[in-house]
Amino acid sequence: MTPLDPTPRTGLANPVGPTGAAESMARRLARRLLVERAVWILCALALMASLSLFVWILGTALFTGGPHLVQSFTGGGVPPTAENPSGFGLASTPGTGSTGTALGFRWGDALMGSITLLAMALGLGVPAGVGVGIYMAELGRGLGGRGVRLICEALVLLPSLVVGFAVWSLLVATLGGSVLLAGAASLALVLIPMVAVTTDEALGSVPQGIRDGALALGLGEAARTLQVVFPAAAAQVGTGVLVASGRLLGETAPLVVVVAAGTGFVLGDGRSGVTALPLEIHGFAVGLLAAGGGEAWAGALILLAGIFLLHGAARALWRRRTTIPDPRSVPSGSPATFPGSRFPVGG
Amino acid sequence: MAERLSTRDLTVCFGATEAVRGVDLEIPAAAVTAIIGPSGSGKSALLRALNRMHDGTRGARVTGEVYLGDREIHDPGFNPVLLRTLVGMVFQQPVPFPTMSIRQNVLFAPRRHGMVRRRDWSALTEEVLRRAALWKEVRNRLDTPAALLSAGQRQRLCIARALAVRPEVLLMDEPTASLDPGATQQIEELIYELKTDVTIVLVTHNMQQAARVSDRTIFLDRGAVVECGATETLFTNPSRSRTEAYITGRFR
Ligand SMILES: Nc1ncnc2c1ncn2[C@@H]1O[C@H](COP(=O)(O)OP(=O)(O)O)[C@@H](O)[C@H]1O
Ligand SMILES: [Mg+2]
Repeated sequence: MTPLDPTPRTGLANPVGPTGAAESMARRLARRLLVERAVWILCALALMASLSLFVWILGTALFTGGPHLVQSFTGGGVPPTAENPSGFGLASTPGTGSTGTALGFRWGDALMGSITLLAMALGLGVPAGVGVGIYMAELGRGLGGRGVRLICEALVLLPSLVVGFAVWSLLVATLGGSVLLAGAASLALVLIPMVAVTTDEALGSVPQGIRDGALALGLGEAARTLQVVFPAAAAQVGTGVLVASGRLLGETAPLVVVVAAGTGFVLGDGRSGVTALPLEIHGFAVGLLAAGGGEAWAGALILLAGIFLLHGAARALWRRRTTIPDPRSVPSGSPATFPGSRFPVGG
Repeated sequence: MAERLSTRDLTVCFGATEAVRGVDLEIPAAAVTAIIGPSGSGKSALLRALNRMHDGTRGARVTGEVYLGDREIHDPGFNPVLLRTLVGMVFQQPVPFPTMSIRQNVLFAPRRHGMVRRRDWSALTEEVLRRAALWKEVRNRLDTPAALLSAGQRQRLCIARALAVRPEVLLMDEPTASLDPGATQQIEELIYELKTDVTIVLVTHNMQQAARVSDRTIFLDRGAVVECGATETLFTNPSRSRTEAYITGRFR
C-alpha cells in the first residue's frame, strides 16, 4: 500500500474557480482518497484470509497427516479395528472381500489406484478430446462446429456425479463391464470437454500466416492440421491436459457413485477392485472408517503433492510452448493464456 | 522457368461483397509486377485468386479465368497441389513453421511432394537458401528452430520455403509490411535478383517500393483495375486522374 496524501491539491484542481467550488472539489477529492484506501485495506484482508486458510490446510495436512503417511508406508499400514476387522481399501485384499489381511490398508495402494485410473482416463480421454477440439477449430467451422462447441462448453459444466451414474448405468449395469473401467470411463468423460476446449483454444492461437503458408505449399486441410498447425499448438494442448489431470486426481463424485452403485459400498472395496485417493479420503473423512481425520489428512497430503507436481509440470510445459517471436508484427487468432483457472472444480 | 500469368473477367465475391470485379490482367514472365491500391481495394483477394487460395475459404466465390501460360488453372485436369507448387506465395506475417528447423522448413514441401531424393537434400537446401540470400547467415545453424531467426531472416526463409519447389511464379502479399527498413531493403534486393527466373507479383501499399522494384504496376481501386502499365509511366505520367491523386497522396 502506498501512503496517500489526503490533502487535496486545490490549486491544481481548480486554479481559477471561485473559493466555494474549490472547497467542494477538495472535499470530493478527499472522499475519493478515503474510499480508495478502504478498498485497498479490504483487498489486503481478503488476501490474508485466503492465504492463511491455504497455509492452514498445508500445515494441517503436513503435521496431522504426515505421521499417518509415514506409518502407512513404513509400518503396517492402518491397523484393523473392531469396526473394520479387515482393514480398509481393497488393493491389499484384492478380490478377497472380507477375508482381510493383517497388514490393513496402505496409502500406497490408493495412490497406485489413482495413477491407474488417471492413466486409463488419459488414454481414453485425450485422443477423443483432441479429436473433438481439432474438429471444432479446423474442420467444423459451419453450423456443426458451432453446435459441437456449444455442447462442449455445456459438458464442462456437467456435474461429474451425473457422469458417473450415467456411465455406471450403461457400462456396468447394462453391458456388464468392470467397475474399474467404469471409473476410468467416467473420468475420461469429465476430461474430454476440457481437453477439447483447450485444443480448440490452442489451435485458435496459431497465426493465420502459418495456415496460409501451409496451404500455399500445396498441403490439404488434413495434412495442414496434423503436420503444421497441431504441432505448433501441441505444448499448449499438453499444458491443458496436465491442468485437467490435476483436477481429475481429486475427482471424487463419479468414483463414489460407480463403486457404490456396483457394490453397495461407499468406499474403495475389495470386491470391486477399485481404490483411489479421493475415495479413501472420502471414506475416512465421513467417518465410515475408523481412524478418521488423521488418515483423511494423510490422503489429502498425497493429493496435494500430486496436484502441485502436475501444476508445476503444466507451468514448465507452458513456458516451453511454441511462441511466434515478435508478436507485435504477428497478430494471432487469440492471445494464449495459461489454462490455470479455466475449469470448474467438481465434487 | 518463369511463366506469364493472365486473367479474364476475374471476379471474387465474399458472400454479397464483390472484392474483385471483372479484372483482366497481363502479367509478363520474368518481371516484377506491382499491385498497389488503398487498403480494402481487393489486392489480396486478387492475388489469392491466382493460385486458388480461395478454394478452402467459406463463402468465397471465384469466377472468370486465370491462365498460367496457356493453361487455365481452374481446368479440372489441373491439380491444385501442382498449381501451388508452380505458383508459390509469401505473406505479410514472417512466420515459417515454428516447430521445424531451418532445414526442415526448406525441405518440407519438396519432400512432401516427392520432388527431391534424399541424397539431394543438402544440395537443395544450400541452393535455395543461397537464392533467398540467407545461406551465409544460417549455414552453421541449419538445424536450429526457425523461430529463433530475426523477422527479416524469417521472411527470407519463407521465400526460400516457397522457392524450394521451383515455382514459375511467386506471389508476394505485402512481404515487407511488418519488417524494419533494413530488412525491407534486403527483401527488395532479393526480389530484384529473383525476377530473372521467376515471375513476381508484388502487392504493396508502399508506393516507393513499387517504384523501386517493379517493372509494371497495376493500380487497383474498389476491386477494379484503374490503370496499369510500365511503372515509370504510371508514376511519372499517369493517364487517369484517380491514379495521379493516389500516387501524390491526395486520394480521398
Ligand atoms: N475471407 C473474407 N471474407 C469476407 N470478406 C473478405 C474476406 N477477405 C477479404 N474480404 C473483403 O474483401 C475486400 C477486399 O479485401 P482485401 O483483398 O483483403 O483488400 P486489400 O488486400 O487490398 O487490403 C474487403 O472489403 C474485405 O473486407
Ligand atoms: Mg491485403
